[in-house]
Amino acid sequence: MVKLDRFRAQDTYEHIDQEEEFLGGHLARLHSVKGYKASALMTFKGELLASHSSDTQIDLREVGKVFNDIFRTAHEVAEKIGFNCCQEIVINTPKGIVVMRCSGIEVLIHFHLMVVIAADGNLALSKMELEKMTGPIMAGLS
Amino acid sequence: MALESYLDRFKKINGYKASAIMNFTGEILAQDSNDPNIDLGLVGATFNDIFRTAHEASDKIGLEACREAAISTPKGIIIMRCSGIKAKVHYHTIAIFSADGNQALAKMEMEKMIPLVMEELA
Repeated sequence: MVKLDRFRAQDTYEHIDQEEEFLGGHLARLHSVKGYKASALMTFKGELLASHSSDTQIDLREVGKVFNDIFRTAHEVAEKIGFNCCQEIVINTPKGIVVMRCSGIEVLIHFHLMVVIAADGNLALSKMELEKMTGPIMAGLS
Repeated sequence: MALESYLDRFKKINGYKASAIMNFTGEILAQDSNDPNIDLGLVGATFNDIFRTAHEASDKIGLEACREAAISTPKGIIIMRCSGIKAKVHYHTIAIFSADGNQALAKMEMEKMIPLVMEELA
């Protein structure tokens, strides 16, 4: 039903709002993870489809592309050594953790998900949520 | 103690494939590999670039420079660790394991190695 409404509303401002709400709704699953700071959904080229931040210092519209580039370079190098493309990158820093997840390069829609949590945030739960979100987002985008 | 001997710690970890110690510019100081597909010269330098870009990107969002990056693929895991950009000696360690390798133990060994390798390089 939701999908049908989205289809009917194509090419209207209402449609854009609906799309943002639809994609943002998926990211909302991450908000309850302990230590959550920010999240984003991007095309594999780094174009932002949806983002959310609860930390004023983190503007993923600005740095999302840089992290996306890191991911794409990792894709290429991992392939070079026969590991296939990378599914996930976890970057640990003294003040936080950045997790990036790929939907898969050979799937219908290749997109990247990103979440930033505090250093003591729940990394395992973030990873699980990203994994669980991938299927529904793919179904919604296709 | 030779720098290579520190890499011996990884060899006994389940799923081990290759490892290296590099300076922060990506030059290899010591390396070991049991997988002929892995050219550490090329892989090490490229992943070192990834790590340095991650340093800058995480700094930009107020998380400070990154200490560790773990890249998971269907066939393996690549772990990179930084001694610290403000440490006495700024160096990077890379270790590559199969997908079912013991990455938790690898990360622990990397952490334990830091003061010893730093002492060696200082």
